[in-house]
Amino acid sequence: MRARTRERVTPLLFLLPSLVLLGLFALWPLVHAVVMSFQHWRILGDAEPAGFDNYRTLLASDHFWVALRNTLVFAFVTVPLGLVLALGSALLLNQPLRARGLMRGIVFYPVTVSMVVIALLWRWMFSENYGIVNSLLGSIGIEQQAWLSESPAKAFAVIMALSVWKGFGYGMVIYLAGLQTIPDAVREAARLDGASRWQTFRHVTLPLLNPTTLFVAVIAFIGSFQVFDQVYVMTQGGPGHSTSVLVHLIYELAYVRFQMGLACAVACVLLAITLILTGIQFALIRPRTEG
Amino acid sequence: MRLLIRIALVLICVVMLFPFVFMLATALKSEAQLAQPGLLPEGAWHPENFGTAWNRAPFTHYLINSIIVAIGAGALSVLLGAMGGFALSKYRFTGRGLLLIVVLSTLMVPPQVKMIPNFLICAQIGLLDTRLGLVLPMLPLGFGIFLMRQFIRAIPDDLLAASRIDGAGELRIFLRIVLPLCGPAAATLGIFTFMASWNEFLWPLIILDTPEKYTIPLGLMRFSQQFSVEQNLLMAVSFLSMLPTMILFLIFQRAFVQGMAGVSLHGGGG
Repeated sequence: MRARTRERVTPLLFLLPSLVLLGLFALWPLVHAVVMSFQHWRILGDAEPAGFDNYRTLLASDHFWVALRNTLVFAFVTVPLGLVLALGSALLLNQPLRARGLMRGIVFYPVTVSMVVIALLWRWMFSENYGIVNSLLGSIGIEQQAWLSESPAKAFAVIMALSVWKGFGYGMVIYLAGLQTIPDAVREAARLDGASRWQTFRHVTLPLLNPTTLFVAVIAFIGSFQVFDQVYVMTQGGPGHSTSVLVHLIYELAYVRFQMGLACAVACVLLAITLILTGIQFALIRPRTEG
Repeated sequence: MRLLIRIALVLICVVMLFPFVFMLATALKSEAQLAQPGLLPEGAWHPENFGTAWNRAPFTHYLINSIIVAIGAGALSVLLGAMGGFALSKYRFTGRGLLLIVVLSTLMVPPQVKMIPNFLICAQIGLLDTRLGLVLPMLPLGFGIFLMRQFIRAIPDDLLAASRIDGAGELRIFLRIVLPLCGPAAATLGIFTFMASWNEFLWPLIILDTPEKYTIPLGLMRFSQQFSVEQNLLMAVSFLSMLPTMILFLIFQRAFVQGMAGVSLHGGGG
């Protein structure tokens, strides 16, 4: 009898604090975000049913489409670019070399630094008057540019470059772990069969790294839809709202314009995109584990 | 081929390090020297910028806040993760599978989706503008419980059974046997949470009002808005703000990499 109580009650007591916190700060807020997206919240604490009004407003709003387009561009540019750099640097740093550990550390280091610090630094590097980028370009005869304030395309390109630069070390580390799981014998066998270096990579190493690539890609895609800090620091979404992204739009609607319901509708769009991506991930992984 | 690899690697390292070199070089310039096109200051260097910048704004406050919040978050997430992981791996009870699914499902929701409701909850229970409000809603409980469960599962049941026969209570078993064996997983989870909390920007931006309660990223942003002309001071104080985690990274590089990439090396990827 005593053992039975132990098996039933003890684990629930151990779980209790976590369950309370998860209920309060994860499950209820998720439900509430969806509910709020169907309500008007003009001023804090004042909710009225709104039907699909918020979603209709969004679909008609230029800012929403700009933010959605920018977020998609950000994801589809930074993720593949980051993957290629991560894989490339992992292959290079998987060779037996002197100072290999140091170089791995250098590539990974920016991952550990706060995005605010990196974005402030890059903002200064790309500043119009005294930025190092303009003075380097000036020394080869290219004229000064207002990278961050003039053209949205240039500003967004800088934001994407910064994000790739800061983040690809993360993928590299995971690729390095993935490379450890491929026995040298497999690659040696391919070489003995007369495969070139490139063929060995293309037809042996790369396919064996597929699970790693899939994993890094999904993590990076989900993360890239949450981009905010660098946009907030570098351009505040400007000029106008031309470099805004989804999370920046959520922030601005909720805390600058106090339209909480509308902000939650954007949050629900973000949620839907993330769940679709997660679904694709599961769909891609399942046949492999079953087969 | 070997030479090409060398050149490529040196190039990568230069690209990764150059911005930080530029940061330091700027930090050593006076305001007038900022107009010089060269990397290094021509004329006198100004290391006194570091002190000036640090004292220009309450950075000591920001640093203390960041340390308290990040260590608090790290410790809480290890403790709660281990408790939850222990419960979900070493006990059989109805609803265990369901609870695990609920815990894991919270991993799939981006924090920004829950941000506004969380803000309203914090407003209701008085957590706005507090350190506790900074920590509690952002704890990575789903990840932590899952990670610790995977690890604790490997602890032999016999070890726990033997202690039970010796008359040890469940809490004692957890504290004396399970927790001390969790070292590697606890380090991974602790560093992961510490760094996430140390670098977090959006959530503190929303719930903090009083500048004295700011964490470092918020303090830097505020500094950059107040003294936008003095990029030398901004870079000096940015560099200082990087030092604590840079030192940790240099000492514990391996644990760091595992901690920050831990999601894959321990959980999902394996």
